[in-house]
Amino acid sequence: MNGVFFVQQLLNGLSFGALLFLIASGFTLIFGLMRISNLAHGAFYLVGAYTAVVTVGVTHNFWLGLGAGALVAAVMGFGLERGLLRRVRGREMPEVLLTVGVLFVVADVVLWIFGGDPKSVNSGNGAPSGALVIGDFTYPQYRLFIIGVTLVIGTALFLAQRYSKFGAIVRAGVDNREAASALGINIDRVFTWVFVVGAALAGIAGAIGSGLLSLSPTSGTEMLLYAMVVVIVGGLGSITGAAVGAVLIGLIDAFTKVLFPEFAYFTIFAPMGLILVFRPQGLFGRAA
Amino acid sequence: MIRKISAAAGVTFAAALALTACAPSSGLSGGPAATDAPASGETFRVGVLAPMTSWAGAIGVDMQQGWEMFLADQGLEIGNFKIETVWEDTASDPDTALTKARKLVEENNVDVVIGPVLASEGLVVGDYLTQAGVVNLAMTAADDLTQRLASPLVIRTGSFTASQMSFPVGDWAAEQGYQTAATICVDYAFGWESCGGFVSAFTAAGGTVTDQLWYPGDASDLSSYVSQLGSLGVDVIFVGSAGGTDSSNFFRTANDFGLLAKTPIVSNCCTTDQAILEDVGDIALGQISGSFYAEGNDDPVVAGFVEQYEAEYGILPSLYSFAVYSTGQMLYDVLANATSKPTGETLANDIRGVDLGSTIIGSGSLDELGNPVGPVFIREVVKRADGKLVNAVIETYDNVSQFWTFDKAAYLANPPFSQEFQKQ
Amino acid sequence: MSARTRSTVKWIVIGALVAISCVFPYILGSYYVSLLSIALVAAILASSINVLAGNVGLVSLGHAGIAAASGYGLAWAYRQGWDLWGQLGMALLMTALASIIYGLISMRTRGISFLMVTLAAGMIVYGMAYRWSSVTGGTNGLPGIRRPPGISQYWEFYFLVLFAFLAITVALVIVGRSSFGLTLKGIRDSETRMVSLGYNVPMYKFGAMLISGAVAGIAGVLAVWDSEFISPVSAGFQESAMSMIMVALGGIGTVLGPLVGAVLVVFFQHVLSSVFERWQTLLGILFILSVIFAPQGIVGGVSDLVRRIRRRIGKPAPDVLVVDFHPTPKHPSKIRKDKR
Repeated sequence: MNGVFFVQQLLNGLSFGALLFLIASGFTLIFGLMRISNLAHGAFYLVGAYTAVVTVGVTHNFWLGLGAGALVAAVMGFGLERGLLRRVRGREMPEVLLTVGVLFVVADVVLWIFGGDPKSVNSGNGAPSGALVIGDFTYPQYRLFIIGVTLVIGTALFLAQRYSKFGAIVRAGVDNREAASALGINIDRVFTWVFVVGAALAGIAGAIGSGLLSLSPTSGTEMLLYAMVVVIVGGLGSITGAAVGAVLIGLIDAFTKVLFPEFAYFTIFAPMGLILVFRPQGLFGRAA
Repeated sequence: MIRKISAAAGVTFAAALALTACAPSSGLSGGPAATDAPASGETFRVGVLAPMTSWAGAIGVDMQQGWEMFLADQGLEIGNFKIETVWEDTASDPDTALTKARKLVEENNVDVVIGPVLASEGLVVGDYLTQAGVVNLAMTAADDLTQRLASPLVIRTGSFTASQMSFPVGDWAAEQGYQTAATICVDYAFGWESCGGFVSAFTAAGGTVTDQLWYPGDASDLSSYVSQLGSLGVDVIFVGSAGGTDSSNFFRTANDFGLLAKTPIVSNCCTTDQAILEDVGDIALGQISGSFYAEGNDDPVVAGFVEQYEAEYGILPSLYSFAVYSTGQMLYDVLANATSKPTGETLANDIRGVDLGSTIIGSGSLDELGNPVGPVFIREVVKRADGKLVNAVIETYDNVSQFWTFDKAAYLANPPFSQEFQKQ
Repeated sequence: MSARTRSTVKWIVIGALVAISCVFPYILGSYYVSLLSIALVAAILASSINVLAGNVGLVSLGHAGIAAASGYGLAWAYRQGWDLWGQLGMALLMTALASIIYGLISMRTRGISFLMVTLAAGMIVYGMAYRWSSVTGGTNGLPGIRRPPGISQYWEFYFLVLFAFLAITVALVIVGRSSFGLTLKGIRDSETRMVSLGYNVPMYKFGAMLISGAVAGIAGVLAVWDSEFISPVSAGFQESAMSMIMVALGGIGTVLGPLVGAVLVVFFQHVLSSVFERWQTLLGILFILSVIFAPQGIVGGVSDLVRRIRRRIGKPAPDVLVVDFHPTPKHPSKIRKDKR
């Protein structure tokens, strides 16, 4: 393996890991702050992705597509939280079951509207495209773009959660709902906002992802599975954990495909299995 | 409590045992009824198993449109028979396909079953229909359906085998002067068979395959594979995908990494399907592939079919619309001349005798294992006058058999294509 | 009505239902009987999920993996030419292996973690079935796995499955009422309390997984015999999710819930699908509605309704036809008004 190849694989792993982080961040945010296991997360990804595809198809502007995807996913998240999840608030099993049902329905509806053919956001249209060429070294610019965008979003999330007033309010609400309400905080509205942000993150992941990987109605379940694996490795509720877990899995995935191709399918699960055996709460999770 | 339960269980068990001794009369169930006396307007029931929902849903829609167009063209009456179609959705799932096959045979009393398309569905349905005595006009490309698992009642009218369509690509590549090749194929039977076809023919024609990459069927990210291919320095690369998202992913990733510009790429039938061309656009221009169907074929019969379909449905016909149409033609050929309703072995033998020259396939026949021997086109992606991308024919290999030029007995004695076994 | 009369009525009704199910092959066509067989096998798999969900409160999204492992064991042994006992032995071995592994990785988890872990375990089984094609046939699967003589006819097979379902249901009721089962329910209600009482909670969960796995293994063998075929799809997420929906829709923790859910889903999947293409959407919506408005599932909801009607009429709340366990405590703050 020469130098150029190594760097390419490294970047492959990082860019895939970046996408994984975007997908997992919304999931872990909602769980960490609201204790809701939102399996409809895959549905948000789908909705964001297909909206982006349609928007870019019409306007030929990638950024509009990204915005539209995030917006539609956020609206859907709002509707889900207000309309459905609220009725089963606090009961873990019904919450999970409800979100599974939503994922099911959305995947089928998407299939009905868009058919099963693969779709994607064609490169160009305003997003970085083409390859970065430095002598012998070629690398797609869009992948570098993904890494960049994810760094920005990840940092923003981390700072907001740790240092902003909003983050403090949310953490207070999770720790002691009654006390926070007693202080005059409209805790229900806060939680709705958190849910909406989580959904928007998934929508963004979908919009960006559809420029990288082709999209089909089964992508929702696929991405949900990735999100779960990252979150198991990183620890439920931790943004840092999601970042570390995502990068780890991305890198392992990229290099195993090259070095041990027979195990390509299982590369995603190996770190997860190890974590479960040796540190079930995840790398950055709190012990149960 | 325990005693009560045991008593109840004992009684139930005894009752069940007693009942198992009495078989129900098959009054309400029943297979297809064969009649001796010809009657005008006798119903010939066609059952179709197509994936209308779930991941292969797009294929089912193509099949439905192709069949609709066929019936509209040829009419619902042929010879002494009236055609009735029963359409069932397999949901891209073999267990559902089997249940629907049972329904078609046991409830709807169909006389023939067209489909299914997916390999896993095809094998189990073919097995069931053989046992039930109903002819299966299969549309799947799984090699073994007409090789090691062949049955007298299963005839592959709606496809060529996966390897059959790739042999000519290997031969053509060697003809172009390419001496070294690498392959990248999806890691399950369809990919093994596609690659196996290319590797066997390419090697037989004097070439050498230096590396073979296999990617998992649900791989989202092909960048590692593409960057590996870029570092190999071979003359030509063969891609064997099953169509769908991985083909699009491959083209886009290969383009991003500069591979498309650097090394010539040839592929199997499905990597340059219309759906993929629509999705990836101009980066696919110039791509070479091999299949028994080319929507850019300027042969008047095929061009007429394509034009009519496009006018009717607004999109170009896919392989599956083409295949279901030609299957219909073969069936009608048999029914046109039949005096009494052919079913079972009779129907199978009749179909095997059809001349493919009378269908849109163009030429050829069916071999004694039930597989077509016919033309495979080497195609190139070109842009039509109206801007649409199509696969046009640049070379034709006639009378391609599922065994290529290899000895049939030796071929069948070898194991089926797999990661380990790629060269005949 | 005295308790004894009520109990007798209950047994008579159960007996009648069983008798009716024995009569089906004589009044329905072969296709519908085979659909009933499919529903019964699905009900057995759903029951295996119910063991964990109803007793311990753990919802598994990967149980199809255990059933598939068992099925592959049987199919592989058949292909090797082994006799029936050899085939069943192989299925048993695979079931044990899968259950032990599932148990080991999940026994220290609960709630959403348990769900994710079992989901991932199911995907690993799927991946192995897919990838290890020299043994499993890959995506093409293993066709031609013939049923043993004696159940080769569709109606003979139906009676076998019916008997298996009844036997398993009875066995699980017994387990549920045993001290082991009661301990499991204690874990469901409050794991920390059980730990503080000195119970080795992970071992109990492991044991529950073994029992659940055994039932899933039986379902796996019957599934292979039904279609005479197995493929990786049997271990996939869709399959596990559908089984879970069956239990949840029917009623987690109830005895007949898995059967009701299985019949409903199979009806949607195989009968409704012929006339209505968007059956999955409909099923999903139905499922969502039931989660919100009838969290006890259909069986639990009907039970509830009957109880409420009886109370309104003035009768004291009696036992009803179905044995049910409430998985979630119902509004402990509401005081029940007894009409006396």
